[in-house]
Amino acid sequence: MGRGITSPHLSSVHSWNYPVFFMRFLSDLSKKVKMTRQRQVLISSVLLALAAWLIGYFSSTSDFLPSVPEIIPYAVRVENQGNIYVGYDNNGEIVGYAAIGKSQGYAGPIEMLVGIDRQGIITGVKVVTQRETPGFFKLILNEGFPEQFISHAFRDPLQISKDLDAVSGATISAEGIAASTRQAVRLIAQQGLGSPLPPESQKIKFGIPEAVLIGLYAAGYFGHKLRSSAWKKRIRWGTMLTGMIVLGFIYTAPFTIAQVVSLLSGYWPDWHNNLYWYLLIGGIIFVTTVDAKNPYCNWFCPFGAFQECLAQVTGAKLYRPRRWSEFFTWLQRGLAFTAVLLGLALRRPGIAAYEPFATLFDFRGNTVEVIFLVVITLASLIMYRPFCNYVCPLDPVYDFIAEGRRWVREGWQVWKKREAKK
Amino acid sequence: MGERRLAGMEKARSEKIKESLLIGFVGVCVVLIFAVWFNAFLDRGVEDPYFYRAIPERSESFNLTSTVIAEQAILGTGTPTPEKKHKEATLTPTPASVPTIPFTPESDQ
Repeated sequence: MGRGITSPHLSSVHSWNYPVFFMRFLSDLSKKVKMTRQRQVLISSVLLALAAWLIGYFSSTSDFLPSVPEIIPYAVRVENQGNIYVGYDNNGEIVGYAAIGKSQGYAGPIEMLVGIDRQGIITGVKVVTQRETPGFFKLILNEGFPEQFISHAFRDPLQISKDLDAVSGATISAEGIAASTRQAVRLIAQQGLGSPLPPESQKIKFGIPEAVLIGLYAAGYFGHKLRSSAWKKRIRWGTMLTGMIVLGFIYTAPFTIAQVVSLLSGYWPDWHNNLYWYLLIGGIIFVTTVDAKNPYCNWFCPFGAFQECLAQVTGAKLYRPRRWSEFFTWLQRGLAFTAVLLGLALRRPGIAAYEPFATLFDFRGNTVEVIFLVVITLASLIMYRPFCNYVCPLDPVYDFIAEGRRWVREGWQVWKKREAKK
Repeated sequence: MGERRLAGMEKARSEKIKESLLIGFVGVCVVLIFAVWFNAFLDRGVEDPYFYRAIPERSESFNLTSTVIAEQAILGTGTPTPEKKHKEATLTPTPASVPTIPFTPESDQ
């Protein structure tokens, strides 16, 4: 192998030795700043995640132009005029319009290409971009949700529960598609048909899931501060069962690694329609940062509660052999980190999620997901919360935040001491 | 003494079984997680079928006569004839350089 020398001070570095060089640099730095191995891993993982983010950012493109003529019937030529596309026939007469609408789905942005003819009737829709979990999106297609838009007039509400049927189990994805389509229709109405639509009202969606979530956070926060262990146990069981039934089986809205990836990818949904998302993620980050406690996992995680109910049946206990403990901790972190890197690099938060939540709470999943759920269910009868303790990607997320918090606190205390000495 | 030794051996054996079960469980989970990612990765490539197109269906409230004439003009001679101004008329076909006539309210569904 040849040398990859770029400058005199790098003369000892071979081109294939850059990883070794980086580890030596990190080791030297850690000696200087007394960094623990945990913090070395923290820095390395942040840098790797940043690299994955950059890869995803520069590689996520969508080529929808070839679809534009197809979506406007009789169009043989398409011209881009401002934010819309105008379709012309052989004689140069306008036959229709097309535009792209964008909104937020469950795991990321959804872009819809919509075609409308001169009479203002929707002639075609195409999903240009979507980041949804494949299972959820397949469900939407199998239910024929996008087909509902065809033949609607541009002035129609195009809203779920008004003139569109919902898709049970994929409501947020379906709402994202509807919102994107409405945005495209709005553009065409204004710039193509010359008949602007009234602005969409931005009502804040605050219902049972949001209220229950706030209640669970409050119960968990005050519950764990109680001195009476009997009352603590009762409240904990109350919050767990509520989480499992309401957030799990009724609304299928647990916290997943896909939401973490969406957060890091910048796919933040509109808070008016997705207040729950902000409450869930914001609440976990806030309580973990301020109180150094994990409010979600032990107090109202729906899947954790499911496993704990099974453990109650057989009296299963936590089992964590000492000699394997560190290995399992780092394996769990490795799985979570791989999920985050995959999601960031591919810009598909839905791909990152491997938790079998939808399989349990929505009774929906492919063969692999069903087998995964069966394995976890059987293991839950033998050991206490096996998924949470060995495989769940959210515990490492909490560890990451907690370690960062500890580091900042230590740095703050060192700085305060130095200031006091001055 | 013998009983204690037997109990110790039993405990060690049950500990080994538990450890094996745990390692087996974790190993199976890791394999299944990679299978889930693999399936999800394969699914993401299927983009083309997400496309819907329909032959435009005319609403009953539209002036079908005007629409049919316009269509026939386009499909037949290739030269569009100007539409008569009519109460229920829909959009008049216009060349690109001329702003389109606004959609008339009477034609709404």
